[in-house]
Amino acid sequence: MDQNLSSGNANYEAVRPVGKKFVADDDKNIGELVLLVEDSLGDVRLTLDAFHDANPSVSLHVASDGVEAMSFLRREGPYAQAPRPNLVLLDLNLPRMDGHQVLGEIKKDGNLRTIPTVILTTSNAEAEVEMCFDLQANGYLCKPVDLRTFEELVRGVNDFWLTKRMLPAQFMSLGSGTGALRASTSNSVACRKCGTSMGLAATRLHPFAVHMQCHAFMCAACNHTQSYMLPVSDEDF
Amino acid sequence: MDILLVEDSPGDIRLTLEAFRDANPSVRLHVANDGVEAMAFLRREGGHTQAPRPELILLDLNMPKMDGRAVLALIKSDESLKVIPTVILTTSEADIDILETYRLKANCYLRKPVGLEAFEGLVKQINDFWIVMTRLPPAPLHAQAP
Repeated sequence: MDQNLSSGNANYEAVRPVGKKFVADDDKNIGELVLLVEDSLGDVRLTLDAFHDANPSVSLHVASDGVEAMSFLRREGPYAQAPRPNLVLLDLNLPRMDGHQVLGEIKKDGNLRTIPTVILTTSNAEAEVEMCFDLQANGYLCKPVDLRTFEELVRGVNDFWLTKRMLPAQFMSLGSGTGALRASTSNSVACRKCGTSMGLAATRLHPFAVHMQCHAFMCAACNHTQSYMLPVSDEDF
Repeated sequence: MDILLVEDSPGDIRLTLEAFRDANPSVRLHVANDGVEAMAFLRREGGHTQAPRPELILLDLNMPKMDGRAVLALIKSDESLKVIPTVILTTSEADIDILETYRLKANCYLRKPVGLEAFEGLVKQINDFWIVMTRLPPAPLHAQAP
């Protein structure tokens, strides 16, 4: 294991997984920063690997107990230069100061409480879940036992709390290029279910963006209702 | 699984209903068209005395009568309701909205994607992540469905 994984001293360098090795993150301005509060080195390793697959631009900082996590967040002692993380992933059972206390401290602090804090623990007890949501945890995830589910889980965390911009528009392609899209508004599309050609005399559903609208169509042949994104014609402006 | 969708746009309601039907047919999506109706549903007031307690709330920000920020503040200051994960789902891209809603204890902030497939993809992700993977808090005994 790379020595950068060691924590509990001034060497709190962010680690970024590169291939199977972890290197110190030189440029703190690139990518999103996650503070992982976790005492199990095995779980740290798994999380690093999973983030590497989900989003290689994420840098992970590791605190191995609650006291260290709070010092990091408050930039105390050796952490005076610590960056503000975009997300905290918090284990519950930790030495010195446990995850509940850390969560309580974060959510009481006017400056820190806007940092999404997600519990990642092996505990599955209902009382635990309720207590954490009561303390305003942003999410509660159980560490899965198998690797694939763990990777999926980290991908979900990345999607929901780090990738603020959702996927770019994936318009239903009715042709290629804007010109063809516009031209196609006066033509027809094939029903997605039965393939019958439908005219485009549709009800406007919802303006998604200034230049595109969602239209609903019902296929006359099979009654399947479906939606298509169509460009707004110039006359609509 | 009961989800409360607080949303005033009929187009978005329709899309969300359809997308959940595809992603997870066991989800019962309840719709409130504005903040006042949402609070009545959650507090089982007015015509909502039989309303179930939702396991998850999807909340738009810009709505008539009472907007999403006010709803969020009321939910998160209510002892019984505050544990219900509340996910903001809005078209707003403003950093100030993201910061403000996290300050008001939103559990997550999602931007409505542009484009139908991305929207359907997002609903599927919400289902996979928030309903399948996330452990949701149990309803307090006094708040269980009648």
